[in-house]
This record gives sequence, structure tokens and C-alpha cells, in this order.
Amino acid sequence: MKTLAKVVVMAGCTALAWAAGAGVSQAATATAATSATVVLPVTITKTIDLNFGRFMSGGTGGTVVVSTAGAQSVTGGVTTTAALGGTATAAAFTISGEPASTYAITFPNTTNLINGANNMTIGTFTTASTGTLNTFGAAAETLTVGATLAVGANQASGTYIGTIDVAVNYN
Amino acid sequence: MMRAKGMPAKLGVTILVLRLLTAGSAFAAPTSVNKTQDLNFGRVVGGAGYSGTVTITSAGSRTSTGSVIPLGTTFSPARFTITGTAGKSYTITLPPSMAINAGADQMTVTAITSSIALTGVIPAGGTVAFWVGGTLNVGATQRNALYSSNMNVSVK
Repeated sequence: MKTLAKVVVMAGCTALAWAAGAGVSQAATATAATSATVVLPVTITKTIDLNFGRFMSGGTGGTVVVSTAGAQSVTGGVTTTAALGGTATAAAFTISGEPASTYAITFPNTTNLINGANNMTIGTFTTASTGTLNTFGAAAETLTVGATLAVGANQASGTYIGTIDVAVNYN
Repeated sequence: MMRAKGMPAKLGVTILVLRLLTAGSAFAAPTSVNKTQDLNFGRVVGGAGYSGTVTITSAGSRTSTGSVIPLGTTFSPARFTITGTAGKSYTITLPPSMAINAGADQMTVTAITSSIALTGVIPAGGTVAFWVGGTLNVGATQRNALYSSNMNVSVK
């Protein structure tokens, strides 16, 4: 008699599915600070005109100087008196801008004062301020401007008039 | 009685060996991006009736329109460096616009641009730098202050 033992071998076939790396890369991110500083505009308003006062020309040329405090002085052939000089005034402007920001004042190189066919030249501007000159404070400040007037020999008498443009800008 | 001997049954043993093969794929290092310079529009006279735009180009120059007045010489575009595998392509994503703030006040930065094409291939050497500029919009009633925010730039 044969005894047959049947052995059934079952092979389970398992399909392994690969997750194929499809090359999906994560985005990398970097951060940049982005900034801007908005500052107030400069304001400038004239409050007092520049006046060299009254003086007398002589046989030689000279100068009339008005300080930022409005004091008149003369050189060369130009003469004056206290009463004549007392009519001089420094120019004054009210200026304001961004507190703590620095500013620059710009004048024309030379400016002519004219009386008919005659003229004299202004130059050498000087400045002072009730605040910190060239740096704006929290409040508006008064900017005073002096200058030097070149007077010719025997300069014709009369009232000489001109204008100067004073510019204040942030640095 | 003799008993018939049974034949020993042979059991065939089959050994099934399953080998798991792990596919060894060499994945490239991920592409990274780093900021090396911030975007700074600098100082600008604005507000109090002064309005307009200030643009920092991706080439690093500063221009303006309207009545705003750019001040000083301190300004810069943002700068980023992409690092990755040479030959791998990259895509830069810039924000279409963003706001910069000073407390409750804000200004918008628009037209954010890159100095290079937004898609490209990492060159030999594995790094590529690019600059980012934009246009700042300043309003006529803009409050004077330092405005700032963060710009996120993505690369993949």
C-alpha cells in the first residue's frame, strides 16, 4: 500500500510597489528685510529781508558786512555811522524738517544789487540758527543770514535792490 | 500475517527565497536659498503733500516719480544666493506685492523683480546669485517713520 502525502506548496507572490521618487523637491525660502524711511519735507519761509543799511562810498572801494546778528561793519573806503548802520538787518528764515536729519544751506555764488545802471555785488554769506545749525530739531528754527556787499569807489548813491534765493535741503 | 511496510513518503520541501531589492537612487541634495542683503529704499521725503514712487532696480539703482525726494546714498536691492546641484533646474517665486509697516501705517511695494530669469539651471559651481528690487508707493499723507517688513523669496 502506498501512502501518498501530497504537499502543496503555495508560493504567495507579493507585488511590491516602489514609490518612485518623482523628484519633487521642497521649496526653500529666504527672508529679506524690506524697509524705507519717510521723512518730512523741508519748509522754509522768509521772515526778514537782508538789508545792508545805509553807508557812504569813498574814493576807494570797500565792503559793507552785515553779520548774522544784523550788525553792520565797513572796510576800505566805505564809511558809516551808528545811526546809518542801525538800519541794517540780517535776513531771517523759518525752517523746519525731519528732527535729527542734517541739512545744507545753498546760496548763489554772487548776486547783484541794482540801482538803474549801477550795481553792487553780494557774496560771502554767513549763517546762524536759533536751533542746531545744519541739524533739524523737533521745532522749527530761525535761520539768520548775513553777507558782504562789495562797494565800488565813488559808488553812486541810491537804493540798490536785488533778490537772493536761499535753499535748504537734506544732506 | 506480514504487514506491508508502507513506503516512507518523501516530502519535497521547497524553500522560497524572496529577495527584496532596494533600489538605491542617489537623490541630489535639496536646493537652498539664502539672503545675503536686505532691500532698503533708504530715506525719502514724503507725506505732507509729497507723493510718488521710489524704485530700487534689481541692478541696484534708485529712481523716483512724482514729488517724493529720495535722500542720501544708502539704499540697496535684496540679494539672494541659490545653492544646489549643478545642472538642476530651479524656479524662483517672488511675492507679487507686499506691505511694509510703521505701526498702523503702511506703504505697498509693487513690481518686485529679479535680476535673473525666474527659472533656470544651477551652473557649474553650484551657486547662483540674484538681486531683487521693487517699487515703493508713497502717499501724500504718508506719516514720517521707518517702515519695514519681511519679504519671503522661495526657490525650488
